[in-house]
Amino acid sequence: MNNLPNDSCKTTCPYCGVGCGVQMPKDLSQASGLKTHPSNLGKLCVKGSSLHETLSIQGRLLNPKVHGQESDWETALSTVANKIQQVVKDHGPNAIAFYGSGQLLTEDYYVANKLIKGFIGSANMDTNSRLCMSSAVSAYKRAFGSDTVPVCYDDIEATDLLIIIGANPAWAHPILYQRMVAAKNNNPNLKIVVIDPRKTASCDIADLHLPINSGSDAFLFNALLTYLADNGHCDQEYINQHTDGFEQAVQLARSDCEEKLEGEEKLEGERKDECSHKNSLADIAKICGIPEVDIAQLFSWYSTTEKTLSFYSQGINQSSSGTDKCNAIINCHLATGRIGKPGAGPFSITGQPNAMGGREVGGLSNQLACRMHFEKPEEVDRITRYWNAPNIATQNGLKAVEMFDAVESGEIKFIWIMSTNPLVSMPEADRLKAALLKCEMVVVSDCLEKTDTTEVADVLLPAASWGEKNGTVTNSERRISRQRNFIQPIGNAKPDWWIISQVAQKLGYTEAFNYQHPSEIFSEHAGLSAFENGYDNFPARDFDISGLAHLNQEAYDELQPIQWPVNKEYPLGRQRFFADGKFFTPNQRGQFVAISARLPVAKITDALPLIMNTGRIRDQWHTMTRTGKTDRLLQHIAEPFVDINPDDAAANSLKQDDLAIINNDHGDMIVRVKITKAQTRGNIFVPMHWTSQFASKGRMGVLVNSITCPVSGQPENKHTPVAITKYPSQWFGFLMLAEQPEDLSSVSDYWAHVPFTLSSDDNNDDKNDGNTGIDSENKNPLNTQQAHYYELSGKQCINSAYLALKELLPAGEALIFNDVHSGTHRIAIVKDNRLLASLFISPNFDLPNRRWLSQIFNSQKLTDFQRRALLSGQEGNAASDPGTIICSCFQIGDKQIKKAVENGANNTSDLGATLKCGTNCGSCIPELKTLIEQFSVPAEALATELECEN
Amino acid sequence: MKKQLVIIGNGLATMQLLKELEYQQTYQVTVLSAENVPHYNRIMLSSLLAQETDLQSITPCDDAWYQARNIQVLLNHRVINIDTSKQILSCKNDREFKYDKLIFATGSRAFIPPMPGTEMPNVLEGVIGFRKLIDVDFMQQVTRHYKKSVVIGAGLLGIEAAVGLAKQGMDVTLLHRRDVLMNRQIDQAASDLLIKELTHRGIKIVTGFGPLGLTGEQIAESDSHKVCAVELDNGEAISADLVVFATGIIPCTPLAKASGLKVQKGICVDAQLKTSDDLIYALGECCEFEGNTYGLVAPIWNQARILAQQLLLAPSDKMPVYTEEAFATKLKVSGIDVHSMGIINPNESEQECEVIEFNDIERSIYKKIITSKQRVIGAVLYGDVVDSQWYFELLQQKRDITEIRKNLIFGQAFCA
Repeated sequence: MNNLPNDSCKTTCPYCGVGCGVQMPKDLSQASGLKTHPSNLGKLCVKGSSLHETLSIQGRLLNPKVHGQESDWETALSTVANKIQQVVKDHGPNAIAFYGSGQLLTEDYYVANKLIKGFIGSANMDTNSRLCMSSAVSAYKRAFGSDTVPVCYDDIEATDLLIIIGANPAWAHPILYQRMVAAKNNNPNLKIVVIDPRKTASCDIADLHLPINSGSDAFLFNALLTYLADNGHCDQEYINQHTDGFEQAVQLARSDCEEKLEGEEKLEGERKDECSHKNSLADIAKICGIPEVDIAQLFSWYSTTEKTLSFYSQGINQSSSGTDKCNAIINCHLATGRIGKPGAGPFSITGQPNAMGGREVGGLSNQLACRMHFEKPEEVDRITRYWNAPNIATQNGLKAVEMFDAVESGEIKFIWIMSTNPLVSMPEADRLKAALLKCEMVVVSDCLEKTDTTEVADVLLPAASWGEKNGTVTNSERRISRQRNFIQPIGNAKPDWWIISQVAQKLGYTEAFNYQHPSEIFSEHAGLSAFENGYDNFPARDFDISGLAHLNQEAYDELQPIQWPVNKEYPLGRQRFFADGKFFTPNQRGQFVAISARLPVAKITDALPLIMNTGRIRDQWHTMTRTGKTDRLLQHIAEPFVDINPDDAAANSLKQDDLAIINNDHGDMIVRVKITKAQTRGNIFVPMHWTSQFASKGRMGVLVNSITCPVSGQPENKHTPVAITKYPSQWFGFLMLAEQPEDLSSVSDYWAHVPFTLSSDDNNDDKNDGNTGIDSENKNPLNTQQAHYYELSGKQCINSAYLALKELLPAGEALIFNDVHSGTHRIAIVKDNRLLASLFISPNFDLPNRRWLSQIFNSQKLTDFQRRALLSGQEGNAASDPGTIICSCFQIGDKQIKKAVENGANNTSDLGATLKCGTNCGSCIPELKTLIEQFSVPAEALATELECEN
Repeated sequence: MKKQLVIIGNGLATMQLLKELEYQQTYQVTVLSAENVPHYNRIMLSSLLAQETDLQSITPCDDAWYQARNIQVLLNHRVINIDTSKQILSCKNDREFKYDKLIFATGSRAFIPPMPGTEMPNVLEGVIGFRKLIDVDFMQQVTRHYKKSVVIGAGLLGIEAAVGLAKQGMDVTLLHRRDVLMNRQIDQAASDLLIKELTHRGIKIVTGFGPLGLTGEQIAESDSHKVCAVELDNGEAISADLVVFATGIIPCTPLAKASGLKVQKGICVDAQLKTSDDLIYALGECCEFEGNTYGLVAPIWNQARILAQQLLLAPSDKMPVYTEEAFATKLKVSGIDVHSMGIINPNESEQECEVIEFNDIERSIYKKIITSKQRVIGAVLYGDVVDSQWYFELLQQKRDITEIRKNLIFGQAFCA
C-alpha cells in the first residue's frame, strides 16, 4: 500500500482540549508541534508526538457491516434510513436518539444536530461531552447567560495566582502544564495552588496542595466567598454595577458549615460556641479534611491577588453537584470582579479536542445550534427559518444517562452512536450494554472494527479517522483550528458528515443535506452564528463567527487558528470576554448563584468503605482506540491499576503488584495494585481508559453510579463507594502472540492486552523470506505490523493454567523451560529462527521485562546467543560468551583464552592456572599452544616497538 | 642418598602423580610400564580411533621432560612378583628393583562378561575390549578387511568406540541392555537426543537386549576361529566381524593380591592412599576407597595431588586427606556435547530433589539441573554445555541458588 501524502500537512491534534497544532511531514515519519499555532507554539506532548504511529490499517473498520455481515454503503445507509422512517412512523421522533462525541469535527457535529433536531424532530442528541464538561456549561450559562469561556491560555502567563481545581494538567493537558511550568519559572510572584484529593504530578509546581475530601470543593469556595465578604476583599463597586444576587449567595454560603456540622460531624457544644461566625476556617478545615493553616494561606493569597485564574476540569464537573461547584468558583470571581481581565477568570478546561465545537453546534440535548436554546421560542423559530426545517424539535431532549435509561426502558428504539465508546465511559456500563443489546437498532459509526461498543452494533459504519477527515475543531480557549486530511480514508471509510448527509438524503431531505465539501457546512454554520445576531435590534449572542461565513473552499483550507468571536468588531478574533462587565443575560448583569454546598450523594458504608476516583493517565487517551496502537504509549503504564494509600493497602492485605478486585453492587474490576502516598486514606484512583479490548475487567464505568448533577445531567464519576479485596492469584504470566487469541477469559481470569509494533527487520538478509509479512515498506507508518502481549493471572492451579495456555500457541519449534518446584513454566515458539510466540508463567509477579522479547519478536533472525536467551526473557551478557569452545572439559572458549593471553599468560601452565583449560584430559593443549602463539603476536610486536624506542 | 620410589604402571594416574611431584629431590623415581610405548593419553584413544588425532599429539611428555625431573621410565617391564618384606620387586624380564616406597597405578582392564565365545580357551578372534593402544591398532587393522562390527555397552567408552568405528566406515551396531544410553550419566531425554544423533551418524542402536553369546567360524586355512555373529537374548543375531566389549572395567589387582595386599574390588587404600602395607600406595582405577572404584579422571587427579603431598610429607606437616567429591562426566565425541554431574535422576537420590529443565529439541539442546534445598546437586547437559563448568562449581561449592534460580538454566551470562 502506498497512501503517503504528496506534501507535509499542518493540522490539529485529536486528543485533549488543548488543541495543539501538529506538523506532519509527507513521509509521516514523525509528528511534531506546529510552531505557528498559538496554543502550543511548537510543543507537543508524548501522545501527540506518537500520532504518526497510530495511522496503520491495523484494527480499522474497512467496510459497512449490517447485522454482522460485511456490506456496501448503499445497503447500510438504506438500512439505517428505513429504520429511522419506520420508528418515527410507529413511535414518533422521540424514539430516535443520536449519541455523539467531542471527537467529531464541528462540521460532522453540525450535520448530525441539524438532521435530528431540525428534520427528524427529536432533541435526543447528546454526546460524551455530557460526561466531561456539561456542568461547566450549565454554570457559565447560569452566571453569564451564555456558555462563554471568558479567558484564554495567555492568562496562564499573565496570572499571579493559579488555582488548579480537580484537574491534573501535567497528565491530562500536558502542553498547558508546560506553559504553567514556564510561567512559574518566569514569574517569581506566581503562586500555584492545587486542590485535589490526590497528590498528582501537577503538584510538582504547586506552592500549596490542598488534598481536600472528595467532593468537598463547594464548601471551600463558599467559605472563600464568605471570607472575602467578611474581610472586605470584595469589589463592591463591580458587584453593584454588574451583578445580581451577591447577598443571597453569601447568606446561603454561610449556612454550609452549620448544616453540615450539625448534621454529620456532631461537634462538641463547647467547641461550637467558640464559632464566632459560621464557616470559620476550623469548620471548613474539618469538612474538607485539610489543615486550617493551608486554607488560611489560600484565602490570604486569593484576597490579595488581583490576577487570579481558577483552572478547573473533571474533578469539579463530574459531580452530583457539578454545576453548583462551578458556580461556587465563579461566584468568587464575580465578587472580586476578576473576570475577563488579563490573568483573571474562571477557566473550565475541556477534555476533548472538539468539546467546544460540540457546544457551538448544539451537540448537547439541551442546546440548539449555534448556542441557541429551546427555552427561547424565538431562537427555535430563528433556526427553523434558517434551516427551513420541517420538523424542528421544540424542547430539551434526554441527557446521556437519561437517554440510555430510555433505551433500557424501550422508549428509544433507534440509537446512532458516533465516534465514541459509551460501554466503557458511561456509568453502570454493564446495565447499558444489556440495554443496547435489547434496542431495536444500534448504529455505530467508528473508525475501529472492534470496540466494546461496536460489539453491540446492528449496523457498523466505517468512519474516516484523524488524518483522513477534514474540518474544524475548537479548543478550550475558543480557538477554531483546522484538522486537515493528509491521507486517503482507509478501505471504504467515509467522513461522518458524508455518512449523516447520505442518510438524510435517503430520508428525503436532499436539498438541506446536499453537501459536497465540509467548507460548505462550515459556511452554513458560520452563517447561522451571524443570523439575527446583535443587529436590527436582535439581541447579541456570544457565538458569532460572521467573519468566517463567506470563506470559499480555498480560504477554508487556508484558515489559520482563530479565537471566536470573529465579526466586524473582532475580525481577528477575541481573547477575552466580559472585561466590560456586560454579560449575555437579559439585563446584561452577571448572576451570583446562591449555592448550598453538598457532599457527593453516594456515601461510604462498612461494606463499601473506599471512595473510587477516576481519571486519565499521561500516555493514554480515552478508551485507547488510538493511543493503544502505539506501544510507546503503553510503556508508561501497560495495565489497568489502582492507586491506593499504604495504610489502606495494608488494611486490605494488598501488596505492591498484587491484583485487586474492586467492586460494588454494579460490578467489579480486576486491576494491578500500586501503593502510593499520593492517595489519601480512604481514596483510591483507577484510570478511565481500559476497555474490554484491553483488559478482562478494567472498565471503571461498570462501577460508577448513574447519579447525575440535577442541572447538567453530568454523572458523578469521581466519587464511587467501593470495596477492595485481593484477587486470589495462583499464578501470573504473560503471553506474546502475533494474532489476538479468540478467547482468553476462559483460561485467564485477568488479562491486560498490550499491542506492540514490530521492530523493523534490520538483519533480514534472507531475500526469500516472503512469509513473514514484513516487506521493504515496513518503514511506512501506515504499514506497521503489530503483535500482542497479554499480562495474565488466574486462580486455578498453575499447571492447569499452563496446559490450557499452551493450547493458544502456534505450531513451530518449541523451546521449553520448566521449574516445577518454583512453578515456573516458559515456552517460546520459533520458526525460521524467528520468535513467533512466547508464554511465561510463575506463581509470583516476578516475570522478566517484556521489552526485550517484544523488540526481537518476529523482527529478526535470532543469533544463537539470543535463541539461548529467549526463555530468560532478557538479553543476557553476550560479552560473557566464551567464544568457540577449545577446552571441552572446562568449557573454555577462544575469546576467554585470548583475554588471558592478553593479560600475560604465555604458556599452557599459565592458562591452566587462570582458566583451568587443558588441566583435565589435556587433549586441548596443542590447540592452546597454537592460540597462545596467535594471540601473543600483538604483544610481541608491542615489545619490539618499545625496544626500538629505547 | 635419595630414596627409591617405584611406580607400577604408566597411565594417566602415574602421569598426574609425576606432575604433582614436580622437581622433588626426595626420591629417585622409577616408572615400570608393561606396555611398549611411552605414556599416552588414554582418554584420547577414541579420537585416535576416529583418526581425529595421532599418537604424537596424545603423547604429552617427551624424554626431556622426564630427564628434567630425573625420572626413569622403563618400558616392557611387567612386574610379576613383589617381596614386601625385602622391599624388592621383580619383572618378567628378570630385572629386580629395590623400593623404599611403592605405588600401584596398574589401572583397570576391560570387563568382558563370560559367555560362549569370550571364555578361555575358546576366545574368538575379533573380540576385544577397548582400553589400550593395541586395541585401537587392532580395530584399525580389522577395518581394513571387514565391515561389520558390534559394540556392546553404550556407556561413555562404548559410544566413543562406536563413533570411532563408524567414522572408519564400519557398519556399527551399538548394543545396550538398558533403554537409556550412558544410563549412569544421563537420563531418558538426553539419551533420546543421543540416540537421534548416533543414528544420524549411521550407527544402529539396539537397546533393551543383551548378548547371549558369540558365534564363531573357522578362519580359512587356520585352526583358529573368528567371531561371526552376536546372539541376542531376544533370539535374534547380529552378524559381526568385530565385537568390542565396553561393558565396564575391572581394577587390575592380581599382582597386589599375590603380594598379600588387602584387595576387594580394588586395592584397598585409606585417605592417604596407603594400602594395607605401610610402604605401598595405590591410586587410580586399580584402587578402592571406601568401597568406590574409579573410571573417570577427575577423582584420580585429586588422588594424585593427595598422594604427592603424602609422599613429600615433612614430619611437622598435617596429613593430607583424600575425600570423595562429586564429579562431572564429559562425553568426548566430536560434535556431541554431553556433560553430566552429580545426581542424575531425582528418584535415585535420598534427598528431596527438584528439577529445572530446558528443551530446544530442534537444536538438540537439553539441560536439566537437579537441586535440593536451593543447591545444585546434579546436572545433565546435552548440546549446550557452555555453562557446565560453572554448574560444577556451584555444585562443588554448594552455593545457595535462591537468587539466581530463575535464570540458572540459561547460564552464567544471565545470572550476573
